[in-house]
Amino acid sequence: MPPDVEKRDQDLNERIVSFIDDLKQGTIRGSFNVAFKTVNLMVRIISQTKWNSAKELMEIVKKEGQKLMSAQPSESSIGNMVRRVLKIIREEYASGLKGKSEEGDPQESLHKLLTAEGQIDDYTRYVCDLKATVIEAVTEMKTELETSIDNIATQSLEHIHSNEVIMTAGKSKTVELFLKDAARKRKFQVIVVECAPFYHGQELAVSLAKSGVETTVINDSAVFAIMSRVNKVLIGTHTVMANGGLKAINGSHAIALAAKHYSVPLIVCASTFKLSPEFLHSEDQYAFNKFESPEEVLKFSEGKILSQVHIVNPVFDYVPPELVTLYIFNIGGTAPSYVYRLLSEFYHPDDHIL
Amino acid sequence: MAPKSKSGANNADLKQEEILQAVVFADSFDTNFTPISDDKPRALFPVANCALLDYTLEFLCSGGVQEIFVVCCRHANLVKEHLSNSRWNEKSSPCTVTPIVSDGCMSMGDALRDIDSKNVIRSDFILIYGDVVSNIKLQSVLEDHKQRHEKDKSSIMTMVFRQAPPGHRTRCLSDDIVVAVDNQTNNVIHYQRLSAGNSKRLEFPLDVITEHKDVQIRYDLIDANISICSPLVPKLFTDNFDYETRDSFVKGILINEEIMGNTIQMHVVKDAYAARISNLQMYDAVSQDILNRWTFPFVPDSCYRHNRDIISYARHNIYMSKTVTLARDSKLVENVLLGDGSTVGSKTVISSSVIGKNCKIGKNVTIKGSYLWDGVTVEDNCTIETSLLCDNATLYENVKLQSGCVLGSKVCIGPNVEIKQGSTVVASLVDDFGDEDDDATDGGACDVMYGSKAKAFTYKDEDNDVDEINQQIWGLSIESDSDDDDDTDDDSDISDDDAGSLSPDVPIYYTEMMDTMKRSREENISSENLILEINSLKHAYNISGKELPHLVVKVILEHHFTEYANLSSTDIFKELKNTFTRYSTVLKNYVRNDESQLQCLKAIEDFGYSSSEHMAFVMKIIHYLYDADMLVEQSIFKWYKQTPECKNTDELIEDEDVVEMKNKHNEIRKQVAPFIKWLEEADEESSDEDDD
Repeated sequence: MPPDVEKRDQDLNERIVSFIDDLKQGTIRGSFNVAFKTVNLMVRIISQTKWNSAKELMEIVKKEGQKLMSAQPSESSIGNMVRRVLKIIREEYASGLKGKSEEGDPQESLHKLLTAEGQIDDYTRYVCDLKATVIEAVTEMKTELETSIDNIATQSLEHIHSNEVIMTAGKSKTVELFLKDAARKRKFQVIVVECAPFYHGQELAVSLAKSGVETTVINDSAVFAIMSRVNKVLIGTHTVMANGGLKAINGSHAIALAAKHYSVPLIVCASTFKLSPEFLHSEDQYAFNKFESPEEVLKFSEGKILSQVHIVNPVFDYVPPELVTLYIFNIGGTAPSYVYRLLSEFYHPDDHIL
Repeated sequence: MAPKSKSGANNADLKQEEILQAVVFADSFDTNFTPISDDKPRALFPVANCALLDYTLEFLCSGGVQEIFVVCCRHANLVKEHLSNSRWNEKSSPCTVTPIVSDGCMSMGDALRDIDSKNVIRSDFILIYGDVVSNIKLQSVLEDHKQRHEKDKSSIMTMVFRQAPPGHRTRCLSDDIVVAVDNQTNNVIHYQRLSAGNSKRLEFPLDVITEHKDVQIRYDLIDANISICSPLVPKLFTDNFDYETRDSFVKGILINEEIMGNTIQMHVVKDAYAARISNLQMYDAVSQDILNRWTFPFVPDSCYRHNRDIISYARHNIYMSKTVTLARDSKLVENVLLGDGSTVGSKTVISSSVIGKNCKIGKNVTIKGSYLWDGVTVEDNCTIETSLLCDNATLYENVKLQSGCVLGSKVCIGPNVEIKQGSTVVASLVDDFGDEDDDATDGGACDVMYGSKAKAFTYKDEDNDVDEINQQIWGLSIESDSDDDDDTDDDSDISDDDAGSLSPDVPIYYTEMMDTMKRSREENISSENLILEINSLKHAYNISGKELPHLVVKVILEHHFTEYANLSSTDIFKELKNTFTRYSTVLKNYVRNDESQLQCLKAIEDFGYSSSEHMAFVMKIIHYLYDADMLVEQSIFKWYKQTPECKNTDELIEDEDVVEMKNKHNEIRKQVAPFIKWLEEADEESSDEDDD
């Protein structure tokens, strides 16, 4: 048996390390894939490592989670998933221990919430079948993750009406499906902002045009001029910050401001795994933004000028919550001011800082 | 279980697909970094606080290379140690990195021959130096190469270039190249390294233009020395002992393109980074490029595979480790990287610099465009401009380093001195007196210059001053250009070019063989090896076995007579005997049967044609060879009776040459006649004896 266990440990370790390498190299595309792989890995960690109590398990998950997060700090969905798993462990422990859910029912009174809190701070006691129930719950979460994009897309008809002009930016899988879903029933026009220097918007436009949506591509500087004709701005995001703000593709802020100016509603499509308990406190904040090679901005072959200029190529923009009208999560529409409530539903306050 | 099945699938994949291999040279085989590369190989130089070799390996790894061989020559143990301590040695490493120690290798050619003898290359592989920083996506280049190779087996190598017009910061004068490409086939038809200084004029072999319809001559490329090679390449290196560097290999292949049919393709990368740190100027340029994130994702903050510390990135390209201590009023201007555990004192200003791990920088210090390796101490009020300070160097108070200074490891300078432009300082002078104690020379003349607490000596390289020049270039930006990369290399280039312009095939290998002979004489190469070299030449130039004896004899004679040209005729002959005894093994190896003896005699005859003085020797030579049992009577008779016509196939054209040839032929016969007569007599005698 011992060599078998050793082998299993080794296998798990290799998996973790190779995932970290993939993260560092940036070979995993899209935050959904990152989140999904993180959850898969978490299931493995829970099932393959040796632990005796919920406390030990939580420590293991935290430790491995920290490792994963430091591999690609700007990828907040890793941390979100780790926190979700921790929350699940807490819940399952509590329910296993008392036979009742620790999860605060949204309908419960504030007083009850207050008194319920702090009841459990000892996670060392034995709970039978904890492993099985935790894995079951995490798998459930995984299914939720998988269906999240479709869940968002099914809400499309509530938001997109006939003959509307929708503006979107860059390429978001969620938005793409959302629009395509609406296009099956309604006829509307989409204006895609190309989002230099990565030009993912052009890809989206091609994909939309292929599925029969009337699509127009505009460059980033034309956003303000076009905005007056737009009925709704619909964008995806990389992360939803704790205050309801966005960490979205570069250029989103400008679009959001233009939308505000013309009082055009800004709707953000996001799965709940993008919900992060992090706040933005400074533009220079560690791991908030990601800076890529200046190649896309100015060609390396430009020559002499390179030594005289300083080129910055950030990937993300911060959009403050005041500019966002509505979030469409897979669990339904939410106002930015309500994001804090979702946070407390998904994450345990003790896990906000890992 | 799931993991098992997955690994099983992996194995199946491995069997089906070829494993992509790479050969990395962790040795540069040059002396561009001499004082600092004496105790640390170039591959381990920290570039933006990360060993240079790791950039190369990381680059290969991200390109899907699964098996990497690191060839270590000098400081092999250091490189091995680095590899065994690094992530590459761990189980999770996506590729296997195997160090190959080949101590005696003096050039890339030697190392490749070593690789070939070890038989580790099984498929197409990537050939790269351990000092390349790049983020090229190798997959597409590899696919192109494979496609070409499938279509045309003769394409044996793809050279990868990076586009960068003249005047580009990352262009290095000593690595300037001009490439001529055939637009239709993408074949490289001419590759020339320019030695700076005389770059105003370029010489091309005429057939670059005449033999190709659509030619592009490009001067806007950086050669990153990345090449994708077929397994044939190491074999070619083994066959051709004169291939020392990739340059000479490329040249050799191009010159022999028509004979061997091997071609080289080029691949120009437009949207990725690639550069080779070949000297200090490039070290500077590449470091700045890394800080400017051109090498993304291989930037300090993206904590790639081997990098374990967490480095944050802030505006103006300021990279900082978490454990850095900054004084409140210190100022990091732009493009600064601060390594783990470094401290910066108050009112200190740092710009465009890399500070290594555990460096201590005092108050009021100005550092600009400089590179401080690990453990450097800079005390208060120092000024450092465009300099390189190696591991554990110390500057005491009030030291001013002017631009272009290089401080070796453990050098201490100061206090209160100013070091002038382009100085190279080392901590001890070991070169001159073996392992001399530092203390013994302490209190010498150096101290005045370097301050009272100094432990420093001016580095002097007696062989050549290439290094000094390099550093000056580095300090003074890219204006001055007086830099010879490699003298011997250039020379060989020239001779190759000359040979190329002689057009027909014979003279090329003739001169090659001449060179081989010369070298064998100078370097005392044993006859066995000489034979090997000659054989390899034979293969390289497709010389037929019949021609070879002729050629060898001719070359030996010619070589001898050019070497002793100024001696009197009797002395020459005496020396000739020595020469023949020296080459007897070689001669016996080639002059074996009747046919080869005839060839040998013909060679002597040809040699006699070349001048009247030589003519006089013909008989003596034949006689000597007869005595030495290398020639037998029968062949000599046969040769004597031969008419010139049988050599000259063009009997119809009775032009002057032929007439002259006939004259000479007769003359030689006349010369040799006495010897033949003597032979005949001796023969008769012996036959008489036999009869008895």
